[in-house]
Amino acid sequence: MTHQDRFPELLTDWLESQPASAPDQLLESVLHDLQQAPQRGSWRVVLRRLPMFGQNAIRYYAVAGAVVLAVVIGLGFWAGQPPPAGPPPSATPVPAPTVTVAPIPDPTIQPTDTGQSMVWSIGGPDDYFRFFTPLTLELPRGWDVQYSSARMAGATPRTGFDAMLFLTTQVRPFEDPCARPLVAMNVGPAVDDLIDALAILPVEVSSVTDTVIDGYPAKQLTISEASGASACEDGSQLIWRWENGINHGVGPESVTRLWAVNIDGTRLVIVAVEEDASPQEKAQLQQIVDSIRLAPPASD
Amino acid sequence: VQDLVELASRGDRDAFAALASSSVDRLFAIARRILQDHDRAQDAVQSALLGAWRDLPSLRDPTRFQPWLNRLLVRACYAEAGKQRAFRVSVRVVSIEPATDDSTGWLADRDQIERAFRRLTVEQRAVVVLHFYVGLTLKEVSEVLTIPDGTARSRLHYALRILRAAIEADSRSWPSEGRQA
Repeated sequence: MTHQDRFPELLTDWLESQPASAPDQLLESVLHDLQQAPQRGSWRVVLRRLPMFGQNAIRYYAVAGAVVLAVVIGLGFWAGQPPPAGPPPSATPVPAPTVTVAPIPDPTIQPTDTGQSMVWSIGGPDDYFRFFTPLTLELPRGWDVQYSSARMAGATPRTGFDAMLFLTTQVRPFEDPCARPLVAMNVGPAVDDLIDALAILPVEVSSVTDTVIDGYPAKQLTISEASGASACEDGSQLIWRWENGINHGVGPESVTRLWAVNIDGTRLVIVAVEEDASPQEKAQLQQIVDSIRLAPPASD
Repeated sequence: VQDLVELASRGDRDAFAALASSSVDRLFAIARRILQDHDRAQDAVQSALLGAWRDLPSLRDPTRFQPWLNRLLVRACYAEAGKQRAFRVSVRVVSIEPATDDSTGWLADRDQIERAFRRLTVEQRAVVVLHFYVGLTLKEVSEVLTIPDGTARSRLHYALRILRAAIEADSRSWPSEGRQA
């Protein structure tokens, strides 16, 4: 019998022969993170997935409209009912319910003479981070926005991932980067909460320097590959989990620079990653960081 | 299960923990096969389960929980597979797997399959695993992956062709590798 004749059987046997039980720590880790993970409101999830609601503003106007319509219909239905038996209802007016939903604007990209300008508000209404209104930066020609969510965006040159810039509010360092599975911490909202958690990572972490981003106080540190005994035994150098669930690590020739900016008590995290970046890409990365302009957080 | 899904979708963490407990082995087995990596499979399962918890209120039909969870898992596997491109890191994977008795004489074949399987794209691997390991029909596979039936059929066709060709080529290359050794 040839290999080709036995192929389906070989394939099935091979698939069946691999491990089928999850390590005990995996479930423990899921249950641990579950305790801290919020559940999204169903209306937000559903609206986000409806293609007709491409613009965030439209989504929220639609929600507000639907709520108003429901209230009107409900009041009309209530008014059409026969009066209930018993004492007449009180003449005290019932206050109409009010719904306040903070919009989550998408980044807007405008072409400029030298590249593109990105305007973005970052944060979310369901945690302790508030919106910035707005955050702007200038992208040199040849760079594009790569990642975008309510709490995370990135920019890279179109030529590849040798240089990357990320804007977010939170990176979640691993409790023990050498343990498996990895458990990401929820560090507090202050700049120092994050800096303190990063300073003890088992990789090469520079001393922390005080700096300023667009007039706001910031702390900056640089993270690079560990050498010798400070790395994990298996050689991995994963250090944190991004907002989008992706793990970030350092490797050979990789340098991660992080700024944690205190904007009137709200933290913005800027991360620049270089790996085999050209001198031009490194200069452009710094140019983007220098171009960041911040407005105070919107008042609630 | 349906009752647990309904409770969990209303925010009952204990109900979701029960769902996670009953699903974690199956999810890990699928992710492990798609990604061919012990640690990444764990990360994918964790990501899929937490995503399921977050988005569960959007699941309209509780009876569709398992296919929906499969879909989240495959997406998490895609994301895991894409990490190396976006965030290149040096990770040496150490995984301990049970020793295999080669008395049936198929260990060499298994190595061939494994080498060939790693040459597939993650999208092709997902179709192969869902069809040959989970036992889904191609229509069910297309529903899980939210792709047209024809695309699922095409991915499977090309995946099997690549696997067959790779095994054939590996078989031919053995003698020369043996001489080098």
